[in-house]
Amino acid sequence: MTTFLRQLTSLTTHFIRVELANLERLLSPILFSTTILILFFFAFSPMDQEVFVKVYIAQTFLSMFFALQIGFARIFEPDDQDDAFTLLRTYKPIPEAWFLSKYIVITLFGVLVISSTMGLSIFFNQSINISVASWSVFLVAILALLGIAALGLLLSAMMLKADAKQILYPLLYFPLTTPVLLAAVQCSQEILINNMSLSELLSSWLGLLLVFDAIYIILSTLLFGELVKSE
Amino acid sequence: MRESKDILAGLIGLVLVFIGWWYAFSFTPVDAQQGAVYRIIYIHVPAAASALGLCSLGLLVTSIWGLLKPSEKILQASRSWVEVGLIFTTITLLTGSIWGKSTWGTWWTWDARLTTTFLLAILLLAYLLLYNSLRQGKQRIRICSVLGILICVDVPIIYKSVSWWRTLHQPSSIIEQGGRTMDPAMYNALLLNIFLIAIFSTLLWMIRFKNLRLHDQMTQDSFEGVS
Amino acid sequence: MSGPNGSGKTTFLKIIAGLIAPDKGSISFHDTHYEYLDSESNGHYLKISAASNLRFWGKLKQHHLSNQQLDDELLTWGLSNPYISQKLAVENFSTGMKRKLALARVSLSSEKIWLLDEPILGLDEKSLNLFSKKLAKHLNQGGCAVVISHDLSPIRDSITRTLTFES
Repeated sequence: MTTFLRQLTSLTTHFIRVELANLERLLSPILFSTTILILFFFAFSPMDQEVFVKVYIAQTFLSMFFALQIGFARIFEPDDQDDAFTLLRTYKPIPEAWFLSKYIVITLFGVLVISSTMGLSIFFNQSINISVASWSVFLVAILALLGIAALGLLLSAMMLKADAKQILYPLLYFPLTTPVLLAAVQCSQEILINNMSLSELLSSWLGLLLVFDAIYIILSTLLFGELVKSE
Repeated sequence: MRESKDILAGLIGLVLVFIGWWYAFSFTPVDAQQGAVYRIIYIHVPAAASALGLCSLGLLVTSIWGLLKPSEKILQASRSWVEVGLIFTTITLLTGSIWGKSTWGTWWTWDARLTTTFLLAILLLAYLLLYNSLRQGKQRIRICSVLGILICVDVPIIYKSVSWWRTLHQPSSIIEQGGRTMDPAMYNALLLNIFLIAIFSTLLWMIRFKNLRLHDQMTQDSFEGVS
Repeated sequence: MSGPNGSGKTTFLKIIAGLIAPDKGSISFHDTHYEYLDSESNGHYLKISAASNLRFWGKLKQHHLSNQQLDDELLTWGLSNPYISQKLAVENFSTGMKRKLALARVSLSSEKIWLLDEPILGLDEKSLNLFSKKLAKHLNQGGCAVVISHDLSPIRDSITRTLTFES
């Protein structure tokens, strides 16, 4: 356990340092989601009040998903530049520690992307009659992030040495994360439109989201070990 | 000699499929609501069952095996299931579109099975793209095995989530209801076709697997000839 | 390990390092901890400094490196300028400097086994002599090194066994 925690701490602090050394990696997805939000706004405005909330949810979640996909696809870029990934394999860190350290970094990064995207979307979608600002919806987005971050990280590790990963990555990422997107969008609609209670949400889409998260996190942690283990 | 066995196997498979269709078209009544066009169900549903059921199960088993005991042979087995699965997902989508157009007037509906099949087709295509973009070796076997497991675990999740999503938005369709309100003769014909298509899929898989092994062997022999 | 290009030296070293699985046969180890250096890459995180890189690799293997040890090692390799070692991102280093940093990592490690693929690529004469001394010291302290090198002159005195690959 001590070795696991020590390795987790070393790897996490190191990966955070590496990410902060190149702020472009954080700014690009945020700028991308901003651009997508603006494009959506031009495409959908003006909106009827009836569909206003649904369109806000769709715009926001899609922009986040696209931006996060860019971030996830590049998570191993620093490790790949001088083949530090291969060297790391020879050091034989505990695979779960390695996965969790990258997962913590990617989740922190994802929280920043979600916060900025949602904040901007709320700002763009201001209406006198309806308020779309909701901490509950923000929480739903974070829960969705937990699941897709695990899957995104695993896919990124799989495609480290693949050609045409720019096209392959979204081709795999979007279909596999469809359940999470569906659950997050439906859950958000129930919160904002139908004012569903927490217990009702837990027995429907929110509960599903939690189940998806658990499946993706466990599966990704186990399968990541298979990819990085010594021969 | 080996070739003629494979040709024979393929022909037997085709004959079985035609027998199933002949039975379905000859011994089942016409549907009261849809007329004769409903009979596309005897192609559509077995193709979907093969893609979402048999081929996915084959991919899952070979992928798990590929992680436990990696070898080029098991990877070729996985790849063969992916290719056969892709054929049947394509058939499912095409027949589903034709059925949708004749029944509801639209070429596409966001029905749970069609949507899941569509996403599965994308994932299977992506599997083949990834396979071709990686260098031969144990890493490729591991990566493709991991992807195979991911796809197979995720497909039922995708199906259920889309199914629940559609339940919110529209009542379940005849496709969703499956055989619940079906005439017994129709139901039996459907089961027979599902069974025969499953045999045909397995035969296709075997032929393709042997084909890939032969290709591998030829490549290996040509390298040894050079060195 | 010596032999013509394409004879399998790098592949064999990678098999020893556990990066590639052999098609046939097996390798058994007395000690599975080693330091590996690739011929075509150095394993650096290019956006952070040399010192940060060394500290990370040291921490991961629980080699408790003091700042003094780090500074001394960087000094021997000519990378001790505080701006170069602490501030400058490794991506700005020359090929030779990156290689020296990688050799500093190997040298700082307390692993008994070194697996080095073309370690002296891009090194100047002074660094070649330094590597030669470091290797000799490592071997004298009971260490072992498996080295692939087309230029044998810096390591000739340290060679105890040669494995020759034929194509």
